[in-house]
Amino acid sequence: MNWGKVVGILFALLYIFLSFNALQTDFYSGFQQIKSFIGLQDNLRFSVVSSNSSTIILKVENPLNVSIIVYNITGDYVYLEKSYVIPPQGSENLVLKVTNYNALINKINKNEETITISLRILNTTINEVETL
Amino acid sequence: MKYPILFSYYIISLIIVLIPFPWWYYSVGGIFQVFDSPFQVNIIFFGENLILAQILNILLNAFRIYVAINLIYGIILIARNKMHRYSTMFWLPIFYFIDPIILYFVFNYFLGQLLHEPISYPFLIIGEENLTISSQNTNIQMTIISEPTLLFWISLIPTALYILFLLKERKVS
Repeated sequence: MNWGKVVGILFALLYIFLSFNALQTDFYSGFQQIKSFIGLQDNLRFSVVSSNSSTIILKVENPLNVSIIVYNITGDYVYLEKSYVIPPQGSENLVLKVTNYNALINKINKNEETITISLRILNTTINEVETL
Repeated sequence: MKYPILFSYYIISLIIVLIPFPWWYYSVGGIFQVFDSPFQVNIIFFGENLILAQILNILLNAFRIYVAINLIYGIILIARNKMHRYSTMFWLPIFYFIDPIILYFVFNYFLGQLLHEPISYPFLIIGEENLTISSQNTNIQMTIISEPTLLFWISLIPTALYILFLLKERKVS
């Protein structure tokens, strides 16, 4: 008889039994947390605050607990002057420069204006191409 | 003492088992970070500690208790000059070299099929590499970091001692 294994299993089971209360609360709050992660799916909302012939002000909301760096937003007639850091759970107004307003409007109306957004979250870089 | 190598194997193993620090650090683009050892795990997702990992921790801690008691039992028997083998601590660090190989296949074949997107997960055991996922209009690049901690290297001492014990045993017989 290997008493090491017998006593080991007994104490391991005893430990699990004693942790049962913690286990239940962890289960509950753990699933609540997973649900909140699923909500992150529709994260990062962009909305236009104001615009004129030379600039567009874009509001970006960050629902994450980590900051997001917006490196660049570039299209044929728009660009971002500098990169922005959006704090966790916060928002930031980005100033987009417009180089040629009429051409931009033209392209948007034709559904041809594509912009490239490049972001960084922690050690992840995301490049996304969107049609306006 | 009849089995000095085995005795030191048990003593060092017991010390390692009782140290509550991770053996390995693994990160997928910083978004998903894992600090783990065979006896504990901490998962961070988007900067938040994953609570469900605590449930796993209870089981892993139970495993820690089980292994520790087996090692103490081994120490008692060896101290009385009785032969006793318990090779778990020899195997545990070795599994850490197998893990990345499994991950490689999971990412490239299973996850790639599931998402219908080609994923080029790098083959790495220790170090830093880039993982690129691209779909029609999005390109995501993540830095994969997989690194052992100091404690992992220390945990290879029992493995070495056990091999030494096996070699010596073979020589005798």
